[in-house]
Amino acid sequence: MALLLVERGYRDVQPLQGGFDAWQALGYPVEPIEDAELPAALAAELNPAG
Amino acid sequence: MVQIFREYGYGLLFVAILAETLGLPIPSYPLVLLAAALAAELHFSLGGVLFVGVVAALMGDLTWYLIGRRRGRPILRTLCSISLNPDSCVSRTENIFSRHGLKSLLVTKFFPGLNTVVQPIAGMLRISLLRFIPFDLGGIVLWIGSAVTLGVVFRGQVEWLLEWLDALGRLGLLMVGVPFVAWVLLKWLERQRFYRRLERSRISCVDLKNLLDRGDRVTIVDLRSGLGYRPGGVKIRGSMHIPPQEFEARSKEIPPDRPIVMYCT
Repeated sequence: MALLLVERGYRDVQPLQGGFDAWQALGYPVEPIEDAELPAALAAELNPAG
Repeated sequence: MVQIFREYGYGLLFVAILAETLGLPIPSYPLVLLAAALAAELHFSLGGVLFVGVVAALMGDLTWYLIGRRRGRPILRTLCSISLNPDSCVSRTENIFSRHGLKSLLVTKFFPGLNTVVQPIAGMLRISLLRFIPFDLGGIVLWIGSAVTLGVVFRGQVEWLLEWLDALGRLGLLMVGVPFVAWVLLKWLERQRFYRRLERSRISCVDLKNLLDRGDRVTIVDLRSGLGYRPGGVKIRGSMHIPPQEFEARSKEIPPDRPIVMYCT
């Protein structure tokens, strides 16, 4: 992904060491995900009432 | 030495080129050169050498393309561990691919660090095979063709060199073996250096947090997909979300004027 950005001319692209897990483990600020979608099959399983 | 070549000829060439294309540290370029130089004695046809080489390399490249398409990012890590070509994962690939895209396939085979990385990246980015194959084939033909040409042009010198090595007997074997071992060692050292460099190019959570607390403008991109990014989950505050499959299309949404930090799980 970083390569694609560099291809598009972006400089200063860095991966986050440890990924999201590391960020969350340190208790750093997070916010709820608003814009995600679940595949239909999975959604049915997680929300049997709906 | 030459005896082995004479007996297993095309097969050896095929295996060597396929192996190197798949990432193993096998110097197949000299083998092709040798085969072309000795074509007459070995009863090879130059066309045959070219054909075998092209097919082997194409198979290898397509394999990586498909792996990249199926598996995505984790492949790059595996590549580093097989090929002993550490640069392949970072700087040189970025430079060439960033400037020329698919056209870089025409030259990557000549750079030991790059020869196995652009193919899976192309697969990862879902570049169509119709676009990928012509460029890849072009690169392969250039690479093998140049080895064949050099072999033919320097036929005399190659034969002289072989006779000389033959005359030296066991010493000759040493003179070939030692540089090869040294080369593998060098590649291994390069790889160690690369891993250290990779660690340095990443940004730690602590540093990112400090940047944000200072008020620095940074774009944070969440690359997670599938179950990693789902309703009810959380993401880093202020991050924008672009899953890998949408990346090529949506990367323009990322502002170019400030540092970018990307993360997965």
